[in-house]
Order: sequence, then structure tokens, then C-alpha cells
Amino acid sequence: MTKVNSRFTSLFVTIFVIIFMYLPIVMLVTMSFNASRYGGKWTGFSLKWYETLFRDHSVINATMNTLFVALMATIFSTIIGTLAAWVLNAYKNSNVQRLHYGLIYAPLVVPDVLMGISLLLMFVSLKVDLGLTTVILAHITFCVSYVAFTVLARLQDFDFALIQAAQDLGAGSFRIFIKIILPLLLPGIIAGAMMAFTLSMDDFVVTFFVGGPGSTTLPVKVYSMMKHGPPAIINALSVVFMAVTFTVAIIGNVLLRKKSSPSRAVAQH
Amino acid sequence: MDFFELGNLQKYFGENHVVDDASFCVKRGEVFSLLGPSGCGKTTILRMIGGFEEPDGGKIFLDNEEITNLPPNKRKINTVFQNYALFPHMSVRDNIAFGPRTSGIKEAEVEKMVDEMLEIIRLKDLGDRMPANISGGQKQRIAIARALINKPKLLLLDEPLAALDLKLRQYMLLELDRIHDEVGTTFIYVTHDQGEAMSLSDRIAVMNNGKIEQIGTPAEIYENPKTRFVASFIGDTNFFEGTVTENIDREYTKIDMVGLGEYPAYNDKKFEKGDRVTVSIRPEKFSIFMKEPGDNLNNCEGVVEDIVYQGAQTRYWVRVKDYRINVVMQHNRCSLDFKQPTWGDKVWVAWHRDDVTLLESPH
Amino acid sequence: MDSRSVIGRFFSKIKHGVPEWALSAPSVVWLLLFFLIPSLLVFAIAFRTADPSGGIDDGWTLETIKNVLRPEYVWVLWRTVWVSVAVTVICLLLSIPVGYWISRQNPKYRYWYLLIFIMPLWTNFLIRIFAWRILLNPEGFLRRALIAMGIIPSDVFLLNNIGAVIIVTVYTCLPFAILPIYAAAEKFNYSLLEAAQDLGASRFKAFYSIFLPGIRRGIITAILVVLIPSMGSYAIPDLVGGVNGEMLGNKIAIRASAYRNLPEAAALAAMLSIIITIPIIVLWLRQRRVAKTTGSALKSHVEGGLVK
Repeated sequence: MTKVNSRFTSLFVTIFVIIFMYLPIVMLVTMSFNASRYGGKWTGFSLKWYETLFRDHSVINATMNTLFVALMATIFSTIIGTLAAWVLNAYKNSNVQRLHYGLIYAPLVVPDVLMGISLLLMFVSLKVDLGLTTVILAHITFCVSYVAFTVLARLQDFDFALIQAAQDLGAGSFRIFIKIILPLLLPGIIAGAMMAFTLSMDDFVVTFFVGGPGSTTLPVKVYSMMKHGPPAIINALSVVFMAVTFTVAIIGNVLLRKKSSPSRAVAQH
Repeated sequence: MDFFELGNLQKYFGENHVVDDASFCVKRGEVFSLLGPSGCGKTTILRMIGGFEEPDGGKIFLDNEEITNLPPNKRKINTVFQNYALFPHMSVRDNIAFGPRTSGIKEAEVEKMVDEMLEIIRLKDLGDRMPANISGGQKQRIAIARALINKPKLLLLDEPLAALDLKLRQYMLLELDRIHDEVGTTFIYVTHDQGEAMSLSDRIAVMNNGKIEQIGTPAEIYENPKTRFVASFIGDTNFFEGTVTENIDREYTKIDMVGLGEYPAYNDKKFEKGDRVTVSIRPEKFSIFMKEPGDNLNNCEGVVEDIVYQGAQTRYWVRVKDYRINVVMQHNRCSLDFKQPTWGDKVWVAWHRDDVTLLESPH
Repeated sequence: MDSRSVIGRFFSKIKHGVPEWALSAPSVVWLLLFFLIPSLLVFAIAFRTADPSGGIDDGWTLETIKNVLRPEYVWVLWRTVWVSVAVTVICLLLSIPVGYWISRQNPKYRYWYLLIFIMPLWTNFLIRIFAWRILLNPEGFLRRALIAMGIIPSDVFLLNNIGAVIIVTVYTCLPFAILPIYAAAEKFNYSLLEAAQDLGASRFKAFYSIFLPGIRRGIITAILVVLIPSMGSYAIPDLVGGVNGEMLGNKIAIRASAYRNLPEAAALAAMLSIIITIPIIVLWLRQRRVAKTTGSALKSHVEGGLVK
């Protein structure tokens, strides 16, 4: 009897939370097909907001900026973050690495606003022009930590008996790296890179602070449209944006689950 | 010099003396086991032989060559790891082929060797599977094949059956024996399971607290343990404290077993009059009689306290003064005087003086 | 004892080629330059004078600090704190039953159930806020439905008030609270609840004194990943909060952009930095095993990002 009750309570809350989470998204998608200019009342099905959207050059421009920034941030943060994870794991007991760990952990806790304002203040004091470069620098900074921790998690699950087994079978360091370590860590590195890419694409707050005139990214564009533009276009833009990130995320998730399964099986032993 | 020799090996982990002066020899083609409770240092010895751990003292020789300080990839030794350590991102074939490919053997030749190995381990159809998709017993055999394909002079097996369930373990024991007969490689086998060691090994080294207590064939170790630890770790036994009162002749001695009286016993360790000894008698060496047996058997009188029926045999605990003697009797109608004793029965426990092992007393 | 020495030997070979400091250098230097130094710089710039063109001048002053201690700002600070605390409490109240529920499902499907709660993260942060603007729109169906059902009077607006800020912040933070709580609940040994009830505890008592302490680590992580980001919230109050929904983040952004006074923005940011260290220190003191806590906090943080 008690079991049934607590399950009922938790089920009730769970259903409530699911509705709470999906109601706004469902509304948004519906409204993007609404003919009315200001939303609210439904005045008929229409695709005209999608047409307007695809003819808007500034949106296309912002999309290009977003992809460029995300690509650069991903490349650099993946390299830096993977190296960091490797050192953190290889020299676990060194005091330097304890500080290093703290340094990598801290950006995850600090709110975006603080990271944005502090970078802005530094760029202004150094008289650096704000633009795509400063945005990329900032994005690399917050992506490094996420990449490092994703790869580190992989390294911690790594079964080091495999290295011994390879040594036992006659392999030297180079061969072990190429044949054993790299293929087993690659899914972790790819996961880290994908995370960096999506985080960079998603970022609004930091970009808002450190961006300049020529560096409008899609989220910044969405923000200014939300503040000033006609809402109906944003509906359409949101749905397109959402469809793209959803697809990327689903593909990535499926890919990751497949790739990670064999080594997970080993880790469970 | 023997095929493989380990001389005065030492290893410390911090303050812990985990391997204390271990020495033994292994003959070519032998199955040699290191047997002991967990933490006794047996795995550490194996890891030093494999090159995964550096000894703090002592030497290791393989086939007239000192290998003490060679790295693992330079030794003609391969290891079967406890949890198999199969490469999860490689197929069964690629796992087995890893060694030959590493040493630069031509691909056509490698393929042939792998086929041969798959034949030996009888898993021809599993070559293209991934390690995640095969059973524990199969993984075990693949780990063995992956090691044996390199034609090692010595194969190290680190608790290879520990991760398997009982049925599979018994089957794999036979498989291991068969594979050994087929390839003839020298095996060093680490286990904490005396059953495995007894059934597989030519010789066994029993270890305790970093020291090798005794080396011998399974029968020697069971029938003639050298120390109290070996006697109690291998099989069950009853211990009695006593003192040598008289050397009857060169072979037999009279022992005063505390509280029981004087009995003759076989004395192969040359204990002298006045020496304090521990007497070890295994449960199956005792017989229970309902009336007093003849003079040629040592015996004492007691009362049956506990009976545990175990199918093939029955285990009795007989109270004799301060002792609870553990006796195992087979159910067998050839035995004379066959009447099953029951709780509270007054019985005689008898043993032959040759079935007694005298050990150094800890006191 | 097992593998350390071999791994050590393996890595020591790499060590000979590239030393530890060289491998650490890229990330350490990067984060020093673009994270640690800027974060500390904020405190220094708070004492600088502003130049009229919106830059930072060479002079030193205490005026900015005095200025940000005005009641107007203290009021915003207070609002920032209580809104964040309210958001955290609501998130916990919702995520504990959800985490419990998922962890009681068939292990085969748990991943997919969890995914239901993670998927909203796959849409852009701003778009999620925007979706709420549509939902809470004065002309929108929700408000009209609520008025029609007589739940709210017709002069109540759902948007541009502090309530909207709380709801939307809860909305964006909830997945990050569910993740660590589910992770802890999944490891919880549920037979302990039955044992407690068997020993005479009521259902509530068993839940309160066995289950909650059992998932303590998950709860602490959830508090960390909800409370701190909501204290630094900027976009949400800006877009759904209206004039009375402003928080410290908004003030920082306004000083930094529209009213271009960087020293004042720095002073406010310094204030926020100090405020967010308080919960971190409190949790630190409460939980001695903080290394492990932050470790799991990280994991869930990272996992949260991963599915994102």
C-alpha cells in the first residue's frame, strides 16, 4: 500500500513536470505556423514567416558567424581540453594538478554574466577591439573545461590492464598509443568536441558582453529580434533553430551511445 | 640449471614485505602453481615474472637468460590476465592477431596462425565477434589464445578462472589441461583455489604472508605438509599438541598427545625426545568404531556430538575430552562394523600411526 | 598495487619526451589569461574611474563602491538572493519526486525516461525563454483559459513580473537538478526504505530520514548547479521580468552596455562574485567530502552538457 502511494505521488509530479517542460515548446511550434503578426490569437495556418525568415540576410549572416565561432572554439578547446585531461589523469597525485583541476573546474561554476563582464573588462583595459576574435577567445575559455571533464571521465573509465596486455604482447609505447589508447579515447574526445560545439552555438550571455558590431551570432540576433522585431518571425526562426539543434543532438546521442558501448562493457567488469 | 628459475626474490610495498625471499625452479613443460590466500604475494611474484613489477632483490632466469630487468615486451613470456583484458574495440581475430602483428609477421602468416589458435581453443566460428558479445568462458579461451599464439616460453595465468561460475570453472579446468597437453608450453598458474591447483598442477608452491611455505606435487603437499599453515590451508585437518616421549626406532616415535595419552606416530622429520610437536591427522584418516578396535590401531573413546550428512560422505564431530575430532566416513558396506553412529553414541575413534603428520609446534 | 607501476612506467616514457609542465601549459596558461586574471581584474577595476567615452580611466576612486551600496542596488541584491533561493527550493521539490520516479523504472528504459527531461535542453536557451513569452502572452491561450476558468482575475498579467522570472528560471534549471538527483537515487538501495518501515518507521519518516540522506550528495550537487547560475541570471529577468523583475545580472549588463559605466559594472560583478562564494563555502563546510561532491557535481554538470 505504501509503495503504491509514494509511486502515485512521484508519478503525479513527474507528469506535471513533463507537461511543464513541453507545453511552451509545443505552443512555440504551433504559433510559428500562425498567420497573425503578433501571435496570441490563431488566425490561420501560414508559412509566410518562414519565407520572410529565409529572405533575411542578417539572419543568414548571423548563422554563418555562429557556425564559424563554434567551429573555431571546438577545434581549439578540444586540443587544449584533451591535453588537460591527459595530464590531470597521468599526474593524479601532483599538487600542480590539484590546482590545475581547480582552475578547470571553476569556469563551470561561475555564472555566464561574470565570465562575460570580466572578459569584457579585460579586453577593454587592453584596448582590444571587440569582434569575432574576442568572441572566439571567450568561447574557447568556457568550452575547455567541458571538453577536459568529458575526456577525463573517459580516461577514468579506461581499463589500464589493456595497456599491460598490449605490452605483454610485445607492443611498444607508440603502438600502444595508436592501437589501444587513441581508438578507445576517441569517442570521449568526439563527445567533448560535440559538447563544445553545441555550447558555443547556444551561448548568448558571454557573446553579448564580448561581441562587437561585426560579430552578431544567431543567439544575439534572436535576442535583438525578441526585443525589437516582429514576434512571428522569431517563432519561425526558433523552430528552424530548434529543428537543427535537435537533429544534431539526436544524431550525436545515438552515435555516442553506439561508440561507447564496448568500452563501457569492459569498464563494468 | 632448470628451465625457469626464481632466486631469492624480494618485494616491498612501502613498509610491507609482500614477497619475502621467494625461490623456486620450474621444469620445461611443467604446470607450476602458486597457491595461497589472497594477499599472500602470489600475484606480485607473477607480475614480477611478467615484468609488470620490479623486484627489490633477487633474480629471474628463463632458459639460461637473466630476465630480471627486461620490460614486459622484451620477455618471451605472455600473460592471461584475471579479467581477460581483451581489447574491446577489436574483434576476436584482431585480439588474437595483436601479438604476431606487433612483431611484424606477414599478414597471410598471421591469418594462418590465428586460424590454428581458434582451432585449438575450439572457437572457430567466433572470430568476427566483438569481445562484448561473447561469454565469459569464451573470453577466457580467447585470452589464452592471444597469449599462446606468440609461442611464449612461459605462460602466466593470473587466477584465470576466478571470474567464472562453478560449472564453467570445472569445464575450463579440463580445457586448460587439454590445451596444455596440446601445446606443451610451461605454465605458471596463480590461484587461491586449492581444487584448481591440485587438479591442474604438476607441482605447487604454497604461499603465506609473502613466504613460500612448501613446494611439492599435489600428493606430497596434501599427504605430507611441512608446516601447520600448509596442513590447514590444503584440505581439513585436526590438530593436537604433544611432546615426543620416546623414539621407538628410526621411523616411529611415541608422542604424548595432551589430554589423550601416548600414541606411536610416524616421524619423518626426525623430532627428538622432549621436542614439542603439533600432530595433524586428516578427518578421512580416522575411522569410527562402535566397539573398541584391535591393538594395532591407535584409538580413543568419545561421544558423537554432531553429524552432517554430505551425500558421498558423512562428517562427524566426536567429543574426546577437550577435543572435538572431525571425522569423515564414506558410506560403504565393505567397511567392517558398519552401523551408523548417531547423536550421543559412545564410539571409538581410531587411526593408523602412519597417517599422522608431525609438525613443528608453534609454542 | 595492481596497475600503477606499469602505468607509471608507461607514462614515464612519455614524461621523458614531454614534461608535466609542458603538457599542463596550454590549459593552465589559457585559463590564467582568460579566466583567472579577468576574474580578479573585476575587483581592481571597481576602484577605477570611468572615462566619459565608456572606457576605463587611469584614476582611482571609492565613489563607485559607495554608489553600488545604495539602497536601490541593495534591494536588487536582496531580490536576486530570494528569487534564486525560491528557484532552488522549487527545483528540489520537483526534481526529487522525478528522480525517484525514474530510478524506480525498469533499468532498460530509464535512459529514455531521463532523456524526456533532458531533451528541452536541446533547444536554444533564448528560444526556451521566448517560448514562455508566447505561453504567458497577455493574448495567449493560457491567460485566457485561466481567466475563463476563474483561476485568476482578469486584471492579472502573467508576463513581466517576478513570478514569470521564477517560473522560467525553474524551467531552465530543472534538468540540471534532475540529473544529479536521479544519479544518486539510482544508486540508492531501496530495500533500506522497506527495512525502515519494517522497523516501525512511517512512510514519511522513512522517506525523510532514510531516502533524503541517502541521496544527499545528489541534492547538494543539485543545489550548486541551480542556485549559483540563477544568482547570475541575466537573460531571463531581462526578457520576462519587466521593470520589477530585474536582478543583479541585469544591472551588470545595463552598466556594461546601455549606460556604459564599466567600473560600476565591475563593482556590481565583484558584489555578485562575493555573493556566489557564500553558498559554495557553506556547502564546503557542511560536507567535508567536498572533493567528492564537486567531483560528482562536475560529472552531472558535464553529463548535462553532454546530452545538450
